[in-house]
Amino acid sequence: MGDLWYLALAYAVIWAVLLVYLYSIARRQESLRREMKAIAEALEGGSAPEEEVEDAEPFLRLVHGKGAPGEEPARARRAARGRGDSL
Amino acid sequence: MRAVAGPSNLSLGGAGSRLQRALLAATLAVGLLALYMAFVYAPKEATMGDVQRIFYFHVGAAWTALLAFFVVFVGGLAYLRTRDRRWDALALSSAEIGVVFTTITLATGSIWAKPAWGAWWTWDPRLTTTSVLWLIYVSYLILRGAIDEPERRASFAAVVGIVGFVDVPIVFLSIRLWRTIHPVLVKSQGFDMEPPMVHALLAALLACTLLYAYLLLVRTSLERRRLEVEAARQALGFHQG
Repeated sequence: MGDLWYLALAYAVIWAVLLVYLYSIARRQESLRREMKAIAEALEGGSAPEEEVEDAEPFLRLVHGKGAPGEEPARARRAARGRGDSL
Repeated sequence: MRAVAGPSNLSLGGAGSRLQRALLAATLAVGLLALYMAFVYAPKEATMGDVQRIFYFHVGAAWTALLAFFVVFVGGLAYLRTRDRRWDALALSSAEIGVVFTTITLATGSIWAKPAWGAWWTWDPRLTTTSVLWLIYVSYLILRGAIDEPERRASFAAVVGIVGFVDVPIVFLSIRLWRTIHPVLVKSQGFDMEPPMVHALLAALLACTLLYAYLLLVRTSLERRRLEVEAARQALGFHQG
């Protein structure tokens, strides 16, 4: 095997380890968001903290493509609040 | 730092998000520059050839791992002094990232060792002490998973994080204290390499440090939110799902 093969392998490993770690963070964040949603739903008139959207970190937005998970319900809550509804 | 009291005092809010975005942008920019410098700007090493280019991010990852474990040490001490769980969250986040960077260090070192030394692994002092370091902090993470009671878990973890840090100076000094085949990078006269190689190394060190800062911010924010959910569950009498 040539030198370049080892070089490519080393950098591939670096990227793979970092991507696996970032994916694991994204999964844990998603699972936590589901839990927050469940708590909010269990509370009549309660809502999950909105900073989950404002605070959702940029990498996760890239991973999920269309904005962080949980964004749609939060938007809906804000819209509903604007209409005077209670969620 | 204040004690965990409720959801509102844990969030970084919009400022935290802006800091995350700024750090991500800086990490990507410096990371691309460091890759350019490692692959194009730095000259080919005379003896080892192109495979020596592994060196820049191998050392960058090693430096970041040691920095991460220093933060675990500081977080552990601060937790034992204040009993504020946010210090524990910081230590846990840093330990996890430290293990990730130590894994990268060991893996890239092993891949580099094959063409350079003719073997994937050798029980050299630097390699052995780094493996022990990896095992200590993997045990730290396993220990946390094995204790249910949060205060006890945080206290035990803080002690392991502090005691485990003893291995960090041993890793650093291992190539000076014992006979080794691992190269000594910094000598009394300074860096033992060409100036463009030093520049590429410094760029890789900066890129890895920025990546660490970004990951620490993201991971700590996740852990703090987990504490919020845990507090909310306890307050509402929910059982863990």
